[in-house]
Parts: sequence; C-alpha cells; structure tokens
Amino acid sequence: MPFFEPVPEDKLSPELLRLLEIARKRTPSQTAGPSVRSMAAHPRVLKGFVEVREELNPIPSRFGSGPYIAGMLIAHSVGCRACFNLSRGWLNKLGFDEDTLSGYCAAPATLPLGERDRRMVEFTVKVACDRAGVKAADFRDMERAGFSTEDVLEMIGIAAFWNLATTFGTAIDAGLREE
Amino acid sequence: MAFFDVPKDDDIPAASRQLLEEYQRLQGTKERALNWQIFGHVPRIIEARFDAWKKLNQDSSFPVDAKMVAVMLISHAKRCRMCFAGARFHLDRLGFDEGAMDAMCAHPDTLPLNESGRRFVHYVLRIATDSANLTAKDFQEMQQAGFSKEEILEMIAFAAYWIMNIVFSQAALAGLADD
Repeated sequence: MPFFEPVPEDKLSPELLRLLEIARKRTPSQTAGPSVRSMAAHPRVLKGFVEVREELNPIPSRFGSGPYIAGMLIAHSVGCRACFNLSRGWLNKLGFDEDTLSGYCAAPATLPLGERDRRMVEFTVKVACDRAGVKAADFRDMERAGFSTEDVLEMIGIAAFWNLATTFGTAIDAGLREE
Repeated sequence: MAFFDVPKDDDIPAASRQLLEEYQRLQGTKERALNWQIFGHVPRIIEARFDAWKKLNQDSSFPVDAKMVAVMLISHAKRCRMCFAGARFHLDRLGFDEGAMDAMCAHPDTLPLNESGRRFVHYVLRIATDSANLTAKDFQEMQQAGFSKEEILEMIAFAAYWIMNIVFSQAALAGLADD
C-alpha cells in the first residue's frame, strides 16, 4: 500500500477544489495528478505549491515552449518522473515528437533549437542544475545575445520553480509507490 | 561592474515594496536583502517568493531552532553562501555561538537539539539532498519516528522551498558580483 494517497474529491473543501482545478488546467491530460492530489492532505502546502507555479512558470510564457523544454531536461537530470512526464506531455501537445524530445535529453549540450530558444533553455538548465557554476560572465553572454534583465530574472524564476517542483515530485512520487 | 542593478524602492510597485518591507520586518534585519530587492524588476517574482516563503517555510509548525539548523545544513551541503550566512544570523540570535554552529556543520548527526528537532533536521536534509533516492520505507520510518503524514508533507515542502530559494540566492549572488 502506498504511503501517500490522493485525497478523494468529496473530502475536499471548495477552496481545495478551486486549487485542484487550477492544477488540472496545468496538465496536458487536463486531470490533476496523484502528486498534487496527495498534497491536498495539507491545504497550506497545496496552496503554496499551486500559487508559486502560477507565478513563476506562467502559461503562456514569454519564452514559448522553452520553460517546458528546460523543465524536461531538469527533471531528467534529477530523476523526477512526475515533472518529466508533465513537461514531455505538454511538449507532445505542442507538436514535439518523442524522438525529438529523446534527442534533447540524450544531448542537452547541443539542442537543435533556434539561437534564442537554445540560449534560454541552456541558461535556465545551468542555473537550475549547476548553480555554483553560474558566473557574472554568463549574465553578460545573455545580455549580448539580446536578453533583458527582466528576461534573465524570469529564467532564474523558472529554474528555481523546477527545483521546487522536482523536490516535491521525487519525494511524493516515492511515497505514492507500492511498498 | 555587477550585471544586476538594484532597483530603488521608488522604482518598485507599492504592493511589492510592502512585501519586501514585511519580509525585512519578519526577518528582523536592518537592511533589505539584495537577493530579493533585485527582483523588483519583475514584481510578480517578489510576490511568488514571499507567498512561498510564508506558506512553505515561515508558517511551518516546526520549532524555529530546528528549522534554522536545517537551513544552515542544507545551505552548507548545497554551498549557498547567502542562505548559510542568513541561517547563522538567526541561529546566533537564538543563542548558538560560532563554535556550536561549526560543530553542527561538521557533525550533523549529533545536533544540540531535542530528539524531535534532530529527527526533523535529519529527514529534511535527506529530502533536500537525496530526494530521488527516497522510498516508501523512508516515509514509514519518519512515521515511526513520530511524524504524521501532514507533518511529512510539511517537511517535503520546507525542503523544496529551500532548494528553490538557494537557486534564487546563488543566481542573485553571481549577478551581483563584479565581472
């Protein structure tokens, strides 16, 4: 029996149902997944997670599909199945085929994207996965490539969000597995 | 010259400025945190961070000494200078001297906290540094150690918040450093 269990809808308050409705719209399948429904056992935690996702990783994004490509690569690098499947599901919906996405995961250093998209994804993944390796020169490179200060701060927000989401995702996923 | 310029209070929308002031008041510090102030360029990120800080960290029901020790040890493990210094500032105010704090970093298994606090720090550190290898058995162990499922969700949220915050802090520090 799994340690965590999704909370049945008939046991949720109107406020929690509202939050799950927001969460549902954020999934490619338009269903709130077991991780987020398990969070409903602690209303403040569910509220914190759902709201920070809306604010740091908004849809639509000024970076198009970039945040989900970055999310897929970050989730792949830390082994978060829930975030990986969610990102990949969205990218499938946006027209990326499985082979293309598998190619991105296999060779994240040579992404066959347009220059601006590639830089956005690479910078976001670096901030998320190689934090100590981020230097002042990386910011200047982004500036020379045409990104504004606001763009760079948004990318930091997206990287930070995926770190939060993958920590939640991997931990709750472990508790949802059969013992 | 640093990449990020720090926006003046007058350049930040009133609602976000109030959140920065509230954060400063609750932290009990004389100076505004630069790693928050730079996000004045994108006020939505200040709101997201403040909401997450309150719901996933500040309002958490665990004792403040155990929470601050956990933050110090997570920051130590993730090499975040800014969060590490912040945690030590609070621990100093709680009466821990430098020697005691250094000893906790060197020997995280023998913390000068009560049993419940030690267990909280142990599990939060595990979630923050090794969430991909958690199993259902780990959660059973946490429950046997006296934590309810709601408290375990709260510990996951606490760890996830700090992993997110470390991304913000390390990126801000790099962008505030002179080239």
